[in-house]
Order: sequence, then structure tokens, then C-alpha cells
Amino acid sequence: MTNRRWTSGMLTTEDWWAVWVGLAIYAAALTSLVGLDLVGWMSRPRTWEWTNVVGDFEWSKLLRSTGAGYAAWHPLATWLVTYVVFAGLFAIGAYFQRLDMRRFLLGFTTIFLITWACWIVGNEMHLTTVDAVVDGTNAYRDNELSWGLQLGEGAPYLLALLAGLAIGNFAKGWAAKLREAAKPEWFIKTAIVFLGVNLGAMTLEATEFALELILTGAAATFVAYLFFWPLVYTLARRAFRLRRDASAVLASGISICGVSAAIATGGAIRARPIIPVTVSMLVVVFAMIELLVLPGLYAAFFPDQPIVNGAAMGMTVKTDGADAAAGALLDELMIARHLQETGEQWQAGWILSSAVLTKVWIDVFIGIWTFVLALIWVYKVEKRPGQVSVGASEIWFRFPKFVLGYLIAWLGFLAIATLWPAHAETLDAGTRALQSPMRHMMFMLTFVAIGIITDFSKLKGMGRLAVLYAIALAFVIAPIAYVVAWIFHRGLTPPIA
Amino acid sequence: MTDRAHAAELTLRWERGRWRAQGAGVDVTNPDLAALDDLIVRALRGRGATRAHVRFDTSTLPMWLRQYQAHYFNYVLHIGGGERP
Repeated sequence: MTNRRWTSGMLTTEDWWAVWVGLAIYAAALTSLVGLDLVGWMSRPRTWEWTNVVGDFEWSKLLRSTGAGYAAWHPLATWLVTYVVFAGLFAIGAYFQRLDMRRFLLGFTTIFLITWACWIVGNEMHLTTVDAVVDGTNAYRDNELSWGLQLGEGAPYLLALLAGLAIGNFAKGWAAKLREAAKPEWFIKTAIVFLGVNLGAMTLEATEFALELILTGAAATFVAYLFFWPLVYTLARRAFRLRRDASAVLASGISICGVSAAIATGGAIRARPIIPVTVSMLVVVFAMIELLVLPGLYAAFFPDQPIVNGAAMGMTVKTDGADAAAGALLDELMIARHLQETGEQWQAGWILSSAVLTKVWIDVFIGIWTFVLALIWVYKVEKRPGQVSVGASEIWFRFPKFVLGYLIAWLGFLAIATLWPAHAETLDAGTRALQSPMRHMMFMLTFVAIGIITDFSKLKGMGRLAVLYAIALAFVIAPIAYVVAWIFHRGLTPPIA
Repeated sequence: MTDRAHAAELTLRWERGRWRAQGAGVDVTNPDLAALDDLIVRALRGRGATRAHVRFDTSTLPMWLRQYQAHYFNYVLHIGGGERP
């Protein structure tokens, strides 16, 4: 499987399939403009209270459809359609990627069931409901809760992550069977395409704020990377005496965008594949540690800097899956805490968007950076000008294609809403299933899948590399990312819901 | 003969600790990529090829890794560029 033409991989890579799955659903949602509702069947969990459900069980207390046109359907019927549609779309992608279909379908079904179990359980009031007035009512007081973790939508995310991690670390045989379908990058990239629709709707509501977020995100990313890569590379070479190729791959993995950067850099400098593979194993485990630690840490210590926290997360947490997952968790935790402390509810999605936008800039940047690095390596390090040359097509091959889906979803939404303002409201209502339950479900699938593929025991034997990673993360990446994010985003807060 | 006709197409793999390039009637292996390039140049010199498009076969990367990045590297080897000093 080689990349020969610009169209290479369009049917065989997960990156492209995130675009196809995301845009297929988006296209179905756009039929709302001609009066249809092809996505309203999407199931979503309700917030429930256990004594009420145990005493008098009904599925309708746990699940409901999104669209009003599907309200009469049995809750399990909408859930089943949700499963069939998503399993079908992902199975088509898996077929073209030549995955083992039997293992994929069994794995996907299992992950889907775990995801929904966590999502439903995580919506129990003692876990989610915040003691504050929202839309004129205080659900916490109205339901006479005697205690509550008050985690908001962060509760199902945490449950999903813990379930995935438990399988990945304590049921390794099972995790191996699920691996064919445990594709956090595919799930999160599809979610990011859906997030493009959210950003479109949010941009309409707060255009100036969105533009500021986008531009300052780009500037912050650029400034941060002027420091990250050289500092980590120097640390690896000078303090840890690593070889040039290992230092370069590790510097990219730690400081740019994790696994994809490690592989792209390994390719750019024509390193033996074992180097990016080893670094990638390290990145995956550390990304999970970052995902577990940073959202809670930022929410606890910097509760009044939501956008700074989101952007810092985007620059610090490696891999798209872990970053978006951490951003989503941070979004929920910070909104819940702010609501609890001030009674004021921030609009959901802005903190997550700041984390994702920063990461998107970084992902776009990797193709250009590795192309420059490839030229430096051929001409200055290997000193082989005239014998070896590298084509600019390498930039395209390494370009993250899901970003195209994100941009199409975002700009498509904006274009329709601004060119035909009379349809803006219909468009917003018609795409609501993507903006909320579908996006949330893809995040939930990501949380479970990322846990399943993370095996902390892989840190054993990594010795020096793991120490270097930890030092670079704690003393270079995290602090610089936070300072840069603070310089560019300080004082920014999401609009009030 | 067009310029395109002078280009040989080779697929590069990493197999059991060695690089292996195959295609255009060439099948060479070496643990060092620069040394492999020299072998390719020697094999293709005299066959009318002025350059070789070398493309890495990403299916030799571990399956779990491919979801993060589906490209490793391609490069062009100039046959008339002389051997590595």
C-alpha cells in the first residue's frame, strides 16, 4: 500500500473515512432544508434518578429520540436504528480498509454497548446534576438529592474512560479481540467533522469571539512551536545522548502532535520504522496520563480561565483522540464548576473548540514542518543533494484529511446560513442531532476505545525515553503551552448559555 | 522516449531489520538506507532510468499505528547523481 497519487488513501484510510462518515450524516441532516428529518431518529440518554427508575422501570425514562417527528417511536427502536446506521457506516469504511469484518463488527458492537451503558449510567442525577438554577429550575433541589458529584456531562465521559482502561489493562485478552474496532482516531475525527457544524452554529451566534479564537489559536500554536521542538531536541541530544534520528522523532512526538508527528518525522528523516513505532507506544500511554490528569487539574486550579485552559490542553495533550477527549472533559467539568460557583452557565462547546482548533492548527502545521525537516535532513544532515530529492507532494500525503471535513462542515453551515438567512434557524434545528447527541456519542466511543488500546505496562522497558518524555512534558511543554495560551487567550470566557 | 519513461518505480519495505526495495526488475536489501540507495543506483544504471521513485509500503507499519498517520515517506533517487561518498 503506497501513496502514489493525490487521491491515494481516499477509500483505504481511516482519516478519509472520518470525512466520508461525517459528511454523509451531515448531508442527511441538510435535507431538513427541504422539510425532511433524516437524522432525528438519533437516540440520546435522559437524565434520570435511580429510585424513580428502579421503582417503576420504563425505557422512556432512560432514552429518547432527538427529532420531534420520531417522538412516538419506542426508545429502544430509536436506539436500534442508531446502532444500525453507525455500525453500517463504519462497517463500510472497515470493508474498504480491508479490516477483518467479523472481528470489526463484533468489536464495534461490544464497544457500542459499553459506550451506551456508560452513557446511560453516567446520566444518573447523583453523578451529573449541578446544584444551580438552569432555565428557571434547580433539578438538584427539585429532585431532593441528598448528595451529588455534580460532574455535568463529564460523568459519562469519565465512566467510559475508566471502562476502556479497565479492559485495556485488566482484560488484555478481551482488549486484543476488540482492537480491530477500537479506533479512537477514526471516532474522534468523525466527531471533529460534527464539531465543524457546532462551530458553524457558534460562529453565527458569536462571530467576533469565534474569529478571535481561531486567529489567536493559530498565533499561539506558532509561537509555542518555536520553543517546543528545539528545546526537546536539545534536551534529548545533550542531556540524554540520544541519536540524531531518535531525538528528532521524539521531539516531534512530544512537542507537536504525538503519534502522527512521530511517524511523519520518522518518514521525513527516513528513519528505521522501529524508531517512530517505539516513540508512538510511549506517546499513546503518556497521552492517556495527560487525559486523566490535566482536565481536572486545569478545572481545579484555573477555574476563571476557560479558553486559556482549552488552548493549553490543545498544545499539551498529544494525539487528536486524547486532546479532543480531554477538551470535552474539560468543557464539561469547567461548565459544571462555574455553574455551581456562580449560578451562571457558559455555553457548551467553546472550551472544547479552543482545544480542538489549536490541535487542528498543529496538525496542519506538521505536514509543512516535516517537509522542511526532510529537506534539512537530505541537504544538511545526510549531505546528499543531487542524489535524493523529496517532492512537495509529501505535504499533501501527511496533511490530516479530517480537517477538510471539519472545514467543509463549518464553512458549509456558515455559507448556507449567511446566503439564505431565512433558512438559518431550520438549518440549526436540522443539524441539532449532529451538534449534540451524535457528537457526544462519537466522543463516548473515543473514550472507551482509547482506554482499550492503552496498556500502561508498555512503559516497562522504556526507561530513558519515558523519563525524557516525562521531564519534557512537565518542564517544557505544559508550562510553555500554558504561558503562551495565557498570553493570547487570557480573560476570554464562553458566551452565557 | 518521454521523461516519464526514464523513471523506475520501486516499493520500499522494512522487513526483519532490513530495508528492501523491489520493482523495475530490482530486488535489493540492506540494513542501511543510504547503502540500499547505492545498490538501487547500481542496479538501475545502464538500464535507461534517470531516476527512481521510491515509495514506502505503509502496510508494513503495525496496523494500530496506521490510524494516526497513513503515510511514511516517498523520495526520488537520481540515478545520475553519483554514488554516496
